[in-house]
Amino acid sequence: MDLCISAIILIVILALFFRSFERQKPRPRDIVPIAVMSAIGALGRVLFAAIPSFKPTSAVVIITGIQFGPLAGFLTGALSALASNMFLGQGPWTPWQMVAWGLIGFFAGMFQRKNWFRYRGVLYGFGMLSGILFGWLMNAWYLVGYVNPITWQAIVVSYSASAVMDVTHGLATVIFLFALEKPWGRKLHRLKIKYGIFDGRG
Amino acid sequence: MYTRKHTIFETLHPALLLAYASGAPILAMLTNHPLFLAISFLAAFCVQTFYSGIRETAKNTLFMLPFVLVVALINLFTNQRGMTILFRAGHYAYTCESLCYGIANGMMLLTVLVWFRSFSAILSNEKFLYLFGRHLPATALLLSMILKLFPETRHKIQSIQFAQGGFSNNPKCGIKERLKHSMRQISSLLEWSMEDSIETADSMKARAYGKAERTSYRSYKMTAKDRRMAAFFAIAFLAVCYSIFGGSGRYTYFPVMRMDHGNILELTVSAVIYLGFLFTPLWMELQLQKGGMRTWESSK
Repeated sequence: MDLCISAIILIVILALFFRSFERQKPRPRDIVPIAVMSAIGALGRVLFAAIPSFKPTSAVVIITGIQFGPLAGFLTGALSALASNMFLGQGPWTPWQMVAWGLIGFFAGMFQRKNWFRYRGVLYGFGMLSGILFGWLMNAWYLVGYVNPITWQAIVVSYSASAVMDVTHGLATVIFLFALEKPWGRKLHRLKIKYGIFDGRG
Repeated sequence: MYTRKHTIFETLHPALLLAYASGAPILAMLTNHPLFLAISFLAAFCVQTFYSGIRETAKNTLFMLPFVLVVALINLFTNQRGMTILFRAGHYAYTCESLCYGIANGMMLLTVLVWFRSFSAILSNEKFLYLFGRHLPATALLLSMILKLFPETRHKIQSIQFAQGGFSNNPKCGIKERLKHSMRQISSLLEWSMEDSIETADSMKARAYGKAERTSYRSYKMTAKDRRMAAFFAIAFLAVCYSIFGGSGRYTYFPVMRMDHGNILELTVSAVIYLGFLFTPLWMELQLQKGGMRTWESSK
């Protein structure tokens, strides 16, 4: 019951973002780079599926958000989740993951607009926090759907059970950001200028 | 993974397939009633067996069984409502009701997962894109492009690894060296894919992408049979929802386990309707095999 209501809310959030993307009447040049980044993000998740929680997806989504703006970041995050689940298995968690990764990309884009990422520390902090908050949101999915009534004991049990994985995810994101943010940022920035992708829009 | 290719069920309109593939897990999520849970689990198991074979289904279900246990145990240890006390530890009482409630919730989770396992077998990616392509053309394009990029990107990764293999897989290198190499490979992958994507975009533009409405390779028309099935789905869905929210399908776990309204007839009727809805792919197939070919042909 609660699961259905929350799924509807999440789908409305997703629909709002995708609608505003459709409104812009995107050209092929605005669409294809998002597809490529989502494919890399999703494939990274499938490739690293053997190591639990160690995945480059969040880092890829953050870098896209920084370079291509909040909306492109959101789309890349949401579609990475949707596409990778087509291989790893869809489930009631799909809309939660789509929104979680979408928001990571969205906020990365917003932070970049405010120019908060000029300090590297903020970037790594954002990466670490996004990994942990992603895990927390997934716990919320589980709690809302399958634990009733939600007692503080249930919250403590599930959040402490996932703590190691959440921190691993955060650390993985920081490692990938440390290694990839500069070279990929440079490359994407060059493409943006050379081919005029996302000029003046989201 | 093997999936059954040609079924009678998939000859229905994609909108109906979507209604079935999402309606079944949604109904499973709505109720805690043991009877409805059992029906839905049985149907989910049979439908997945129909599509992927018994071995695959049994393997998947066994693999997911521990989750049911985890949910049941978390409920037992964190939820102290209920009258029937199983045992006490300190001043905590662990009750039979909370264990049963946990098992029911775990079964619900398992059922929903099994339903989602057959989602893509019921509604192929192509039909999914057909349904959403017209209203969300850019999004549908994005999604189909990502699916196409998967094998392509995998191939690119292999080529890059092959080209740089001489030094990347050398076990004599330290971990730092190896990490550096793999990061370089990922960077080459990005550059290659991005340059390719610009080429794709230019070629799409040259072929006048976006000048007309998006079309699909195959088009599907609503036939009379589709409309009849749609009416059946709608009635079944409403009947089960009525039972779940309005009366006989309600079930209370706390403080004592009991049905809210003891109307057995109503419960039986809605259970039969529920069975009929969930087993649609199977009875349609059986109808054909039992010499129903003629009725099928005439109804088309």
